[in-house]
Amino acid sequence: MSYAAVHDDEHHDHKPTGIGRWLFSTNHKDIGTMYLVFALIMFFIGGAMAMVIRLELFQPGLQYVDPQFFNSMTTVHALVMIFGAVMPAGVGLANWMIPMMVGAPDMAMPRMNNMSFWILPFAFTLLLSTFFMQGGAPAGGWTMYPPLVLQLGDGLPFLIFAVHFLGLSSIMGAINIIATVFNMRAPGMTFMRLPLFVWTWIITAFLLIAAMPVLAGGVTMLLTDRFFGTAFFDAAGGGDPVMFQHVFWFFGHPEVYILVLPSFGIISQIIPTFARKPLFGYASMVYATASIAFLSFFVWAHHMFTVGMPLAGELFFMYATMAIAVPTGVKVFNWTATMWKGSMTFETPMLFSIGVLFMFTLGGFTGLMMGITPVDFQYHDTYFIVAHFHYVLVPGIVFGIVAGVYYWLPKWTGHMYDETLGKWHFWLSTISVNILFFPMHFLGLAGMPRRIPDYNTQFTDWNQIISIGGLAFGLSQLILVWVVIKCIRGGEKATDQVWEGAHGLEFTLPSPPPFHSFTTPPEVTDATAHS
Amino acid sequence: MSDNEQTAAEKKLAAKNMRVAIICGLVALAFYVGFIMFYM
Repeated sequence: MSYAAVHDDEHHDHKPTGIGRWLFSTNHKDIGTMYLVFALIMFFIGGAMAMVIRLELFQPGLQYVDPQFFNSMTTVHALVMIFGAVMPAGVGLANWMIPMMVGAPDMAMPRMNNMSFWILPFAFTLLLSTFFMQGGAPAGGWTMYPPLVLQLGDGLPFLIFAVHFLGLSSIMGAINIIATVFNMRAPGMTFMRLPLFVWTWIITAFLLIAAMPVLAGGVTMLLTDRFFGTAFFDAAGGGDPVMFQHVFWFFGHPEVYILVLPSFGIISQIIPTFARKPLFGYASMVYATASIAFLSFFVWAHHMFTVGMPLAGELFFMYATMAIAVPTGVKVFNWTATMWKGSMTFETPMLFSIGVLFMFTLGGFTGLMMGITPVDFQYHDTYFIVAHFHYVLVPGIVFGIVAGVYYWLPKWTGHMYDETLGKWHFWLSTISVNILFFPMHFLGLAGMPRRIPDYNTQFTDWNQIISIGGLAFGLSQLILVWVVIKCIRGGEKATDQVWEGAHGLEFTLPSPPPFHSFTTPPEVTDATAHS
Repeated sequence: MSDNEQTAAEKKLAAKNMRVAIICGLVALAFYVGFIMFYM
């Protein structure tokens, strides 16, 4: 056990107060809360940028922003949502839940945990400050392809250092999770008794350690190309701009699974609870998750079929992409089988989980379509792609995170949330997210290109519907904020178990759990373990 | 509490945690430097 954790445990009743509690916190629950609040703030900042995009696209022609600013909006919206909202939200849930799920008093390295979090606000200050610099904010797409990205003004080094810091934060967080799960499990908590959420996070942590340095290496090479006279990606100096795309997507595709696996873990906790049945095929879920992670390193070039690759390369990446559908299919089958003949109820976390199951699968299917090389030549850089990855990221991942928040909120606060408002949140979000993203398939198939502030008038109707859906989805999320605030302030007292069908060590603790949980490690048996 | 007030078990656990952190950190660093060296 690390020094800081031991130190805190000895002052059981002492909870730090004031700003110091948050600035210097080594407590996994406080740090988890900070991650979640940070993610929510970034979600609304990124959402505001999406609203600017949708406002401009409400009508054909250029109305409100100039094209350069529009491109900055698409670029920074993506960076903020991926690195500022979804990843920190996942780490926040991991911080809150993993020590409680494995029976540990805290994370293995609480001080490093504090640093991992506090790097994030600095990194995003660097990134967002570029809006006030000569040349503006990054506008070449979140993929930062050279040579376009090298034309960015003063903001380029800020972008690159922000990415470095974000990577550092993620790697530190990943190391902490690995050390916690490997070294601090309670007696009897064997690996095959770990909750699926913990399993998905271990695998995600290994993905982070393998993938983030590759991104850091790529952007370091961009930095040296711009400022130190190298020519890694400069054809005039013997370099190859397409090589950056290979480097970026070698990080970028595992990154997709870094984002989605924790969401899979969350719904693997929730569905058995509300189906009142054990998770179907626990071991196959673990192996499927590991297989998805392993295969994710062999499919990167399906993002760049159109750059011109040898036929053998295109075939390899096409078949490898298809192969990922197998373990993913195993997971979808197992979630469905868990519900089969279950005694199901449909509280808000379950509704969001079923939403993930349906809508992530839809996003997965369009992913398979794009994995077919010749077909991808038609879809590439159209709104079909935008529809696909938003189905994966929003109803697939954000819904999963929201499901987790509703599921564990009573445990965190000691109060039940307002179920009626929760259901309103689910239904408004589900209807609006489909109005927002489903018509993008039609626009993409009809040929509307992505990342363009103007469009042919034939696309107007769907764009107007999409913009209305976007506004409705954004406003719907205010319900979540209200539900959380209301739940923190009071409400019906939550029991320790919270949900009738809930199992696991976290539900053996009081609601809310003490500031330092499991100071004495619990004994885990098959009865108390998830599996 | 100073380090010498930690029990032997706590020190052993702290050492194990540090070992995991160093190994994972070195792997990450190797990927980072290795990728750049590979393309040089």
